[in-house]
Amino acid sequence: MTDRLKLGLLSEKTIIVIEFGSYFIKCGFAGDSSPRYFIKLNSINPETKEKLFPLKKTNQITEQSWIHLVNKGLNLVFLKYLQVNTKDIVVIICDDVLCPTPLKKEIIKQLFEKYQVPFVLFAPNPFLTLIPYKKKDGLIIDCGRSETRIIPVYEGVPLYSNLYYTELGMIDIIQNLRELLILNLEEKSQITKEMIQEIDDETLEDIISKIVFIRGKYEKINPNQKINKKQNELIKKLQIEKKPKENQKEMKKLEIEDIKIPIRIKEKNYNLIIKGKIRGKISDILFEGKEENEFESIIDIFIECLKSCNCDVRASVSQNIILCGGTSMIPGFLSRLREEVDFKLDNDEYFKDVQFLKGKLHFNHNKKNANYISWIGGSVIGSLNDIVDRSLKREVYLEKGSKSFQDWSNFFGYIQDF
Amino acid sequence: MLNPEANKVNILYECNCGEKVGAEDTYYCKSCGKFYCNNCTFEEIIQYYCPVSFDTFGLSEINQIQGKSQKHFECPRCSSQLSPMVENQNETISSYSLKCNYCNWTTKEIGIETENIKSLINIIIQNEKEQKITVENQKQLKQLINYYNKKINPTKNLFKYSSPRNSPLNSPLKMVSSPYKSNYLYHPISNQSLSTQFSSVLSNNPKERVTVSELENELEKREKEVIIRSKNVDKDSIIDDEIEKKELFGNIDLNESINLERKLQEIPNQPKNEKDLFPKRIKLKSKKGRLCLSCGHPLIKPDLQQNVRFKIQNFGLLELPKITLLNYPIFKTKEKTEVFIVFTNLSSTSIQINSLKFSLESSLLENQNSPTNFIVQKFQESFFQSGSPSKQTIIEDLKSSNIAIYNNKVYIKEFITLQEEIKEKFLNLRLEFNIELEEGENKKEIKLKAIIHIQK
Repeated sequence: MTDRLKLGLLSEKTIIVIEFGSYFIKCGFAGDSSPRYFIKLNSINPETKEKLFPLKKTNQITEQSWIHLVNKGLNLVFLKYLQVNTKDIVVIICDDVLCPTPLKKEIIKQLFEKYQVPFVLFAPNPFLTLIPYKKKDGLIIDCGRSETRIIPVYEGVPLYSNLYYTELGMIDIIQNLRELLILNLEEKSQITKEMIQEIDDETLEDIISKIVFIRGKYEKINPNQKINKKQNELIKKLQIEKKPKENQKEMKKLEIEDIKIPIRIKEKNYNLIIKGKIRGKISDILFEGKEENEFESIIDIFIECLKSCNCDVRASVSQNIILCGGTSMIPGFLSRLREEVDFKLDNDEYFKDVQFLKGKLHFNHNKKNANYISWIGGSVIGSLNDIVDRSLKREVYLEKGSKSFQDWSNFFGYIQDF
Repeated sequence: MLNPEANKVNILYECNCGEKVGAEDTYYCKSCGKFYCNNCTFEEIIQYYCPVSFDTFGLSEINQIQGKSQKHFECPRCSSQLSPMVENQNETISSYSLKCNYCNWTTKEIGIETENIKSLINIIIQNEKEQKITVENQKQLKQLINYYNKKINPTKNLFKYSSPRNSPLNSPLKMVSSPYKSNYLYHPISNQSLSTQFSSVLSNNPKERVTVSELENELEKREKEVIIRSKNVDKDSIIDDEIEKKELFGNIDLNESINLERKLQEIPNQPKNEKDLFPKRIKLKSKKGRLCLSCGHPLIKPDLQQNVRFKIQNFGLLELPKITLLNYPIFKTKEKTEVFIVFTNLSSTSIQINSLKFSLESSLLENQNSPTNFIVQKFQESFFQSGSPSKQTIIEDLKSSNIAIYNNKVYIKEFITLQEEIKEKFLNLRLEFNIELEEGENKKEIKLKAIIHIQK
């Protein structure tokens, strides 16, 4: 009762929802339909002068760098962007599935000790993603910047044993664009290979957001792209099935124009030409996989995940497949995913057990807010009446220390009620 | 012009928490008698102000205006300030619009032009509130919140309280006057006995009367609606996806499309073209004070009536000596290198330094020759008249002795010999010393650690 009274005395919007991503920190107030700010962290390690954030695959992430991230991130959220006094707020953290323990410990430590926040609630991300859809079961495909994760949620409980992930995300698309640009350089062009290597990731990502889309697999394939044996066989089958005349007609319809992009390299202006034939192929890496990962693509892990599920779970989960994450907002992502999944279920013998699912999968993809759908879940949770009763209290933390919270977010109370 | 070698030397103080910070980022807590870094202090917002007009706002007002200025706007293209522009169409009629002085964007581009400035501001603010996506999203979110509130505990929602703030628990007056106080506050009601209890309680107010069976029926209906709606979502999302894809096939006008970073500032719309951009209200800034984390003593408190001054200011720089190097030392292996360290006192009292100790990370320092105890004099205005000596005279003075004192500065000479080549980019010279600070009549000694990072 006292906790609720405390909350009642607060001003209107003092429940804050924060989601830590590998590129952005999304923050805002509970009860809002979208986060107020997407904060991009640009920070340098003061001792080694190396760029810590945004995260790169080559970055060595130490415990110190997590501390640095939390320290800087929370400071930006509370004091620069949202500008709130932290002594009388409730903080909801959208807890990532693969959130490293030192990061979580540091977040709690900083919130309770440095910012003196009275109440903190950790809510599991997959569960929050389902909340806007008013459902308890679902399969969540989170295609983010550095990796793609697929996790089923049954009766509100994220099934961590069936979690699959592959290191394919926006970073790989950026790398692929760079490689394709080098491969398709014209001889007369003013831009050299070295210059393309020097273009920073942010500029390339911006280009991707403006002009890139994902084409269906039935269209022509770039000969320079590496394709594994399995995929090659499947493509040949596919080409045989489709009559060549029809194929040609479709190709004519889908002729794509080259685009000139003004770009600044070494303080000089150039025009970077991105050919039409490349534009549809840049994001293919997500569906074809990489050599380092033994070509494990999103499709592979998706069907693998469905296959690994219990038959009861699979039946209900396959009816609500939710696509989220910024990378899934690339036009054509959903249709390519459906197309490839159906094709693989039909033709790949490895997935024979789940072949009956072909055409029965039900996808949900809200493009307008796919990059912050779990944040919306957090916003809803934060606006509920009993938020304070369910959150971790500062006094408890100060008394019990790290024993007061678990590594995996326990949300069983909510799940039972929902 | 700045010395290019100035960036190669970085001098930091080590806080008790292990963080290394510059002297400017330290604070002195008089009650604890310790120096703290930013991390060991608690920042508190005291007042908000508009960065353009310097109008001030209290903590309670900030939620109503969403932390943004009501009169000033920023350019949606380049985020610089928009200024009003007047054009005389006739002798009697003049048109008002907002213009960016940096990129020449005007509100005319999106068709906003009025006869007076007040209506112009009203139109922009109204437009921000009534944007289609925001209104729709907000509606859906409210529905979601109601839906889940009912699921959690139906007893709380029979009274139609949308948030805990409106509940009678939070208003002492309502609690006293509430007719159902006894039922609600102290006896949690079970589902089975709900209808009988509420029929008696709400008999005076038939409009709000809800039975359990009605509630269950409503919930069932809604669930069915959700299932029907979700089946359509699949088709819709694929069609949307295909349309968006095919829009990209043709030539795209990149001059009109928006950067990714800019796009993400315009949540929830996330527009693609500049035509969809609207002027944004300028974000308010805040005046912050700092408190000591361990004892809660105020370290800094801004003056609310004046824009620049502080009421309380316990900056570390006012108590600590500022450490610098006179020259950028160039190290050579197995050769003696002179390092000149300068202690500057910027405070109004002289600083006594005791037991100064140098050390290098890999013990390459020869025996320490420099003195361990000395006084750095306080700053006086007469020093301006006398002037400071040139670098060369100081170095010549230091040839005969290890210490030289001029005005509020103390120069110390130390020899360093590198016996092996260092592979790392930095050479870290550590300093440990005690300073004496006056506390009333008593004197207190505080141990300090500083590190001189010298880039090779």
